[in-house]
Amino acid sequence: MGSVLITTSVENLGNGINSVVQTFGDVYGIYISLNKTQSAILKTLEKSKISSKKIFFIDCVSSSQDKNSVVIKPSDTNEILLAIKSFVKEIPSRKYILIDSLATLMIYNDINKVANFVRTLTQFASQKGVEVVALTQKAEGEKLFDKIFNFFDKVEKK
Amino acid sequence: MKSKFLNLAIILILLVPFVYANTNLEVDIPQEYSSIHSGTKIVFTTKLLSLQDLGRRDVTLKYEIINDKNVVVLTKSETVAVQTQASFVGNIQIPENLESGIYSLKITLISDSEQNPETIASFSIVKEKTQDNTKNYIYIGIIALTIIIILLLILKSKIWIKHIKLKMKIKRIVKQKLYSNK
Repeated sequence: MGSVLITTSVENLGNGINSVVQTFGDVYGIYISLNKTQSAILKTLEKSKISSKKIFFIDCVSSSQDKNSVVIKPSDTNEILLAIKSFVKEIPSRKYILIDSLATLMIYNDINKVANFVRTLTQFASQKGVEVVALTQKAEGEKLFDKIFNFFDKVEKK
Repeated sequence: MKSKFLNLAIILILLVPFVYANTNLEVDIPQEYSSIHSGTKIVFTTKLLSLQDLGRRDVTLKYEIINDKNVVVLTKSETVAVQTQASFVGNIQIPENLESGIYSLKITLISDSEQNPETIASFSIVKEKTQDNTKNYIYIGIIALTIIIILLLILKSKIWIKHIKLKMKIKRIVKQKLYSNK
């Protein structure tokens, strides 16, 4: 599969996430959430009757730390990358990385920093044979899209 | 130049008892003031001996600092009360702008009588050794650099510790989930 960039509308973002998680099924996932807290996502998946037991979260929305969750500021892209790398190292079997959503990163970081983050992530994932699915909103993400679409193996518009 | 002045000084010292037979005026510059820096004070002792003619009254002492070119560079007067003999400790502030070299301190007793005894002593002004600030700047630079390096190491170690904690947390979370999914 490699790496995929999915551009979608804000309304379809939730469905897009559900669809990705369902598609991967029993594969362990590393979910980097920039729009919702871990607990909100768990409720959404539960509501859609999608199992979350194989998903590890990097919560970039919550403000307080929890001993069973990884909370990182969205402005600290280096730490996000470190967390992703640690998860990839610790999870023994096949895994995927899901980012929701790249355009939100631009609220906290300049466009070049986000582009650099995406480049580093996709290169790392490619080296480790880990699949990456990144979602981004259509309207907000246009400038960013021009900078990053080249880093992905595939671009889908939904 | 130095020997010329020395000769003059010797002549004057020898002549004083003949010219000023009744009153003796002596000046003594202590060893520690024989060589001073410009801008400091010269301290000396003036001795008036055998003042029979003058009696008990005030006298004026005129102090002159003379350079090696025989130019008076500083003049100061002081009125003192005397009896048969007197000894005074005096001081003169040497101006900062005086060049280094050999100087004379000439003291003249000004009185109503025809005799105005004089005495001369020499001293030297030396240039103050300017502080070598270069070494100080180097030391300050080394200390500042060391402090910066230590601060950077502390900061780096804080970040390093934070990363280690994150990795350990992730390891624990993954282990828990893998175990619970079995």
